[in-house]
Amino acid sequence: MTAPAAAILVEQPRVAVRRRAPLRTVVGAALGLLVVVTILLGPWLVGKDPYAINIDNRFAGPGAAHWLGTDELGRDVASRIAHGARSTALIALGAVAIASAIAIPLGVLTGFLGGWLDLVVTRIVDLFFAIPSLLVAIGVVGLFGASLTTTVLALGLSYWPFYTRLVRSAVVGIRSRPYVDAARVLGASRLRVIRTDILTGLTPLVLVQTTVLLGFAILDEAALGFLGLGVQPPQASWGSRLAESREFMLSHPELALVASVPIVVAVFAINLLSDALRDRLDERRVS
Amino acid sequence: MRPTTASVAVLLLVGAAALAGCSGSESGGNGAGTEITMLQPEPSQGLDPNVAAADASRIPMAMMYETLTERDADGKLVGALAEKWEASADNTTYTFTLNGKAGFSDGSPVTAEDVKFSFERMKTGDVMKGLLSTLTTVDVVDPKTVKFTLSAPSRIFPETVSRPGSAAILSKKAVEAKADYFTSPTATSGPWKLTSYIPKGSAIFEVNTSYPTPPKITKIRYTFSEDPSGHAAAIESGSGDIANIGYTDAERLKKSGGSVQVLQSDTLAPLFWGWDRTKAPFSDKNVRQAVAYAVDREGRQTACWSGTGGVTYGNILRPWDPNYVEISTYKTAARAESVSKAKALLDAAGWVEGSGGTRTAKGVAGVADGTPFKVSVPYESNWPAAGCHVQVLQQNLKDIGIEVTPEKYDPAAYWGDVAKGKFTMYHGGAGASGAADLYQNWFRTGGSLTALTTHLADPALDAKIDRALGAGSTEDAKTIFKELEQWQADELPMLVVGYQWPQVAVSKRVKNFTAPLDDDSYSLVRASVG
Amino acid sequence: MTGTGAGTTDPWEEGAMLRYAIRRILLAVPLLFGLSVLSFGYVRLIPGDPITAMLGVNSNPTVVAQLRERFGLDRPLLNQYGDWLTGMVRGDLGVSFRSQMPISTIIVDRIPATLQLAGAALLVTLLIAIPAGVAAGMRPGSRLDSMITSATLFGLAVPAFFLGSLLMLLLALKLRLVPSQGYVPFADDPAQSLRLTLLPALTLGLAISPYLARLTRSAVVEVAQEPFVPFARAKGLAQRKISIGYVLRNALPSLVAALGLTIASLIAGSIVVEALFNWPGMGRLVVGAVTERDYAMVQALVLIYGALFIVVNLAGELAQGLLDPRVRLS
Repeated sequence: MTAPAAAILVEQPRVAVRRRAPLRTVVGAALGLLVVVTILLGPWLVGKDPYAINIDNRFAGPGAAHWLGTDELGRDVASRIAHGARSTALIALGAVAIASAIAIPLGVLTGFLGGWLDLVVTRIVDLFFAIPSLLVAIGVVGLFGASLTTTVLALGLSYWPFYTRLVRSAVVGIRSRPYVDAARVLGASRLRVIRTDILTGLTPLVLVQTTVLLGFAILDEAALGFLGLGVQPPQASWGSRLAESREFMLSHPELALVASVPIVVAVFAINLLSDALRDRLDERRVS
Repeated sequence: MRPTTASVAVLLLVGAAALAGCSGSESGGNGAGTEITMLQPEPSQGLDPNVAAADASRIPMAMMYETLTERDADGKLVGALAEKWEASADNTTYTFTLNGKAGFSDGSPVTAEDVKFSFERMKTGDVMKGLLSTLTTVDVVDPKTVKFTLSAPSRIFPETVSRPGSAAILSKKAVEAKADYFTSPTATSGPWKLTSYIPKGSAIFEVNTSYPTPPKITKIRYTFSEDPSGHAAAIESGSGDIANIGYTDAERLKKSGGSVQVLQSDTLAPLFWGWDRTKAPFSDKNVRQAVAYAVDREGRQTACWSGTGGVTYGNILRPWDPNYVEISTYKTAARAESVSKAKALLDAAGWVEGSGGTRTAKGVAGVADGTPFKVSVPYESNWPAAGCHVQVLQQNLKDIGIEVTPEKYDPAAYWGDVAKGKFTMYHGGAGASGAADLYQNWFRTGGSLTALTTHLADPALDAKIDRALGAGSTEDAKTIFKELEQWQADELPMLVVGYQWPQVAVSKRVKNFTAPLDDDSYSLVRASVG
Repeated sequence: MTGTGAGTTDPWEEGAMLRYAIRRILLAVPLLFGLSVLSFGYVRLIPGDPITAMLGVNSNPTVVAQLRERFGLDRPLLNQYGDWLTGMVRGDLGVSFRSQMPISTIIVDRIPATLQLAGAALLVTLLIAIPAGVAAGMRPGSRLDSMITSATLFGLAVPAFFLGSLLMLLLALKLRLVPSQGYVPFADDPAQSLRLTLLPALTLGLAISPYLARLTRSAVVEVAQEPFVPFARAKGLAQRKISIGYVLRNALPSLVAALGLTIASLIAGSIVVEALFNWPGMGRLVVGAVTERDYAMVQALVLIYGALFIVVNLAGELAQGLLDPRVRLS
């Protein structure tokens, strides 16, 4: 949930002693597939208007008419979750895209070139790093007002300092490897070195980091929704659905339980997959 | 593995023991004897009665500042700091005699000089200025007697000076001694005094021993809470004693029966839609009436208030008000009829049906042809029912081709922006004590809530309201109020569709507490802990 | 700056400890200065006037003007910044626009509640995460490790506010074990104060446990691979003795660094948990200050959060150096 904490997921398995049973990977892949299907086909499968209020049919239980029942305004819960999946996916992908768009070029340039640019950027990163990432996100919402777009921006901007630092230190590591030195001695241009050696060397990290951040973005979207600073009603998203249903937690706890399932499943799947991905990449590096 | 399992087991045991130990020591109480915990929003506008008009501020102000008169449990006007009062035959002078025992929390007596100071200060403040527009002089007759002279007759002056929290009697000495007095007011006249205030935390009130009838509850932990969804749980589990709760929770608690008292108040507290009548689209009465037809009042009450509360199809006053005469302009036999009436009115106003389902302008003054009828409707983010209302409105107006976008709004900035006329249409709700209070405060130029509700500044209307307030007999007043009711139902300076029905959860240990009227602390003074 | 980044330089020579500590503290000064510029600039970018937001309904122009003057908002930006900075150096954090109380008083009032929750949550985390991480790390690849790893990955997927709501429903309403929300100072009523701490501390502690468990596991895995562990096992030492006496002691420096990261997560997690349980700590203060445009408050809090972060990091790094003579000698 916080930037420093994200390091844990990345650095965890430096020592993979034995090859783990692939069960976790299989579970992760299966759950991940379920989430992707929900995002792509969900709205079509459910085939209901997620915004249609039916006041006479509030808090209806699950059944043939409403697979997962109806919410506090009589809207179809399954449909809200299916449509919400798209908003949430958009937020997560958008946030990670923004963070990557800032962090990768900045990290590569500073790590590769060093010098005063490195010094200045590192100081700025330190500055943002000292503020809890959720607080950075809240600050961005304070500037632009809560909406789906702001949520994307807020989360993207709260992840870049940590991500930049990670990329930079990886680039410093790659730069000092013998083959990179060799390439430079052989007269390869800086651009060429960046393009071939550095970026190739970075790919595993970026892959893992992207999946990890997707999970964080889904959770942070929900946290912002809870604070009333996320996606605004009546727009459907997983986070806003969970935050809305929490208001009826005491009288209708099933609503909140149902709303929590997609978030937990999606993030769990992402965590399992990123863990497996990292193991694989580590093994390859070791062998 | 074994040792770690063992240590986990030990830790779990320790945790369980700690839990049991904690819960075993006392059964859901809140400390000793006569202390209670209330959950309320933080007074966002501060504690200066001349500045703060929102409920969040008036509730604690009513606890710490007393007024000359107040309403008892039956809504009858009785003396508070004043023992008795007399009106001249023409209702232009009022003489109040102060209660000899009344004192400020520093022990000094409440004097006529303090009353004079307080009213002269009120006359300069935005909250009471409109209500006291006819007050010309305040004279100290003797230390316990004070005479008010009005420029026009008013039957309701004793009612005006009862306005909880706002018509506060302050200590002249204390206020003049400190430039930033209202940051942490001392020497106050109310039943309790403020002893601590932690922003975004809580305030502590302790009993004012110089109050004429000292309350039995000696200490109130006034916890600031902006999220009512947790209130029911808090009262049930013993974290608090008094709190406003949501409707689904109230319903659940009433059904489960027993563990928590659920009270509801029948005060006049209209819920309304405000709008900007200075420009299109709502400058056109047809459009306003179309919306009045299209809103599904009963549906909204079901969706957002679990079917409790009341709806209205034209009146503002409630049926049990002495001045009530039923108006049901916007009531139809079926929803389809309401929709078709609304559509016809919109057609007449020049908002014609477009291709995408949203109406567009065609010959509307001041609006380019083809402009779609879209309106963003803000509501206070800390009021769950408001969010529900706006979503129901969105659904209702979609039926007639108006596109509403709900906009969750920062509650601290909300009413300021309403007053500035920032919104085309907005959600609102506020309390009033009766017909006189309502028309004086909501409809009269400079009334304490006029800038937030009707935005009226109409001298003819003011004159009419003044005549109602000064009318010689209640029958005369009733006739004028009837005209006023009919006028607002046609003209729709704001659209009143129903009433709030505040649900208050009270823990079992609090006795004799009744739902407060218009933010007053009177019922809390009579309550006790047992 | 993070616990993991300390290895590149080698400041831990004999006697260098103190000099290093002083250098790090001095390095924090430009960082704090940068934070002050950042937060000052930020609040002035927020749309809307703080005074009218504060006064709400009664935006009486004369009162607004008076208050603008009182808070110095009518002065040039550079002067405002200068005044603020000089005040800050003298320990004067300014006045909150919203409550008009001195910010230092407001913040000092919240320290007990903040520490009480943080301390209790940290205790919960330590009790859960350290045993779990050690158990998993001692036998990497075992079924227990696999179970614990899966559990941490699952734990990381549950939103903290949802976890808290569930605990509230279960412990406060169904079982009636604890009150659901609120805060009473420990000095006022110790028993009630502790009861009220339980739910938020459990929520926050559980929410951050997976992080610390994973960090613990990796620290332990690394130590457990050292040759002395199989050697001790071969010599017939009891498993408990190995895990506590050897592995844990050797993993301690990394664990201290991990604790630094955990505290950073705790600070962020407290923002949500305080809102959920109506806990009057720093987290609620900062959310309120941003949404209410309380300029002076936001400025002060950003600095305090930054300073807190720096102190936690510094303490972690220094403790790591003190605990690990190898690092110093090499």
